[in-house]
Amino acid sequence: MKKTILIVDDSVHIRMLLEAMLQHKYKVYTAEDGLSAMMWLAAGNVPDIIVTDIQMPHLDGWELISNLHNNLLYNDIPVVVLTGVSLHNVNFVHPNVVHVINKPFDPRDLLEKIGQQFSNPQPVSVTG
Amino acid sequence: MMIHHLSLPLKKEITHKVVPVAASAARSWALCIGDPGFMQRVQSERPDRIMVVSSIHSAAKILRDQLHLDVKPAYIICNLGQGKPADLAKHIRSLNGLVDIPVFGYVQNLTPELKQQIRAAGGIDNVITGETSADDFASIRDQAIRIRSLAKGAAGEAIAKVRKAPAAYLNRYVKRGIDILAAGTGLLLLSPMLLLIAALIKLESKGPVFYISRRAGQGYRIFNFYKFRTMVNDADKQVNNMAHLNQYDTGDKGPVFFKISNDPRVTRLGSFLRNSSLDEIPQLLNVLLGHMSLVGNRPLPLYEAASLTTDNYCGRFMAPAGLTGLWQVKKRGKKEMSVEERISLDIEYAKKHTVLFDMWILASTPNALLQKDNV
Repeated sequence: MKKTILIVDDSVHIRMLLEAMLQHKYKVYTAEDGLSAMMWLAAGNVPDIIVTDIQMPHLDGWELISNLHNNLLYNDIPVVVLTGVSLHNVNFVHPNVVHVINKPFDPRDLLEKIGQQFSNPQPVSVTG
Repeated sequence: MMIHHLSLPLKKEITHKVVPVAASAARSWALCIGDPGFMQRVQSERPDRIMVVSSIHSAAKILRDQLHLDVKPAYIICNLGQGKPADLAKHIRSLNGLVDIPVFGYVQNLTPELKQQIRAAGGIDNVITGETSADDFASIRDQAIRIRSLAKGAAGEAIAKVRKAPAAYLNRYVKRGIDILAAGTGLLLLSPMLLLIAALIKLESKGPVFYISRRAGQGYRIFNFYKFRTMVNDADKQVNNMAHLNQYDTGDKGPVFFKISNDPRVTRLGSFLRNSSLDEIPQLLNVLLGHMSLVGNRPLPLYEAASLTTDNYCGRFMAPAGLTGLWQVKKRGKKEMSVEERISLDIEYAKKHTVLFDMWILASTPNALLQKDNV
């Protein structure tokens, strides 16, 4: 069965680009911000991985990740952060985040990291 | 129906006093469905007022009655040990007016199977277990209340697989039809000339007839891009030594483009092929194969393409890759065409391209082919 990916990004073009790139191999859903992502999850959908931007309206990437982490239903979903915000200076350690990729990004790199996560899962640490 | 009174008796208030309280305070009261023992543990410090009912059905009845008076609990928490989570979620979420109320499930132990069930059923915001502490619960509760109230305020839930309008499909098929017809006919008619050029390239310098590079087209699809070879054989390896000649000023950041006027690596025949744009004709093969269209945005070398995957620029990849396009028609041969201008023309094309617009660009292309600058 095809793995499911949820893309969370407020840029419609990034969403379309990622969908175009990923849809041959995966089942792709897109959300325009963290809030839509949370509501989509609460409606009974479970992706195998989430690729999220950081700066977004309503509910940003940080909050989305924190919500996932604090949720026993979703705290095992790996997250790839794809952001235009430079995270070099941020001490970015989060149990759910398996990769951080900065925009502009090489899409082949993203594809490879997603593939890696599926073939050789990096466990996200699940806390109670 | 059985109603327990926990921290505060609620039965009377529900009919008389709850209305103003519920409207003013986020944590005014909570509805607990099933055995409430765990509530005392997670509510030790600052207890919410809790109304306890024994079954989902009684809960639904109470909620219906209260919703009628526009009184809502701040959250609902249900002991999942007793029923099927799917039933609970369905019941509660089916009540109008409860979209903004978080629903929590309680299980003593969350087994992977149970987790799977609850997630798939939907409608339950979070789960607490025998290990959830009072602090954990407070943060879970506040986070869920915040999400639900934000969701109520947001215009709509734009979650979907991206769907294209029927007109976009029609446009695509007509475009593809024209491409196949034109590229097929063109290759056939031009084949004698193409063979001649191929022979001349072989005669002039060592190396293959075609220059094949990897390019990113529509939706960042990467394909082999064909051109007649116009440079000496190891031209790509010399790029690093020539960066100072690059006519695009890119600085350290931002889009990366590489172009040099009067490039010394170009052969004499190559120079002619470039000026006449005959070197581009093998791309008809790319068109025939569906990598490209006659009209679109230039497919970019991968190092250039990767520099455009930002929120502002990546819209250019939404259009098909093309032999000719809007920026060639508008600015071809002018040195002052900046990267920004070029990308914004690409994005403009991606937004509004139609078969008719393509026809206009095709008709304007011959003029644009008469280049003034050897680029």
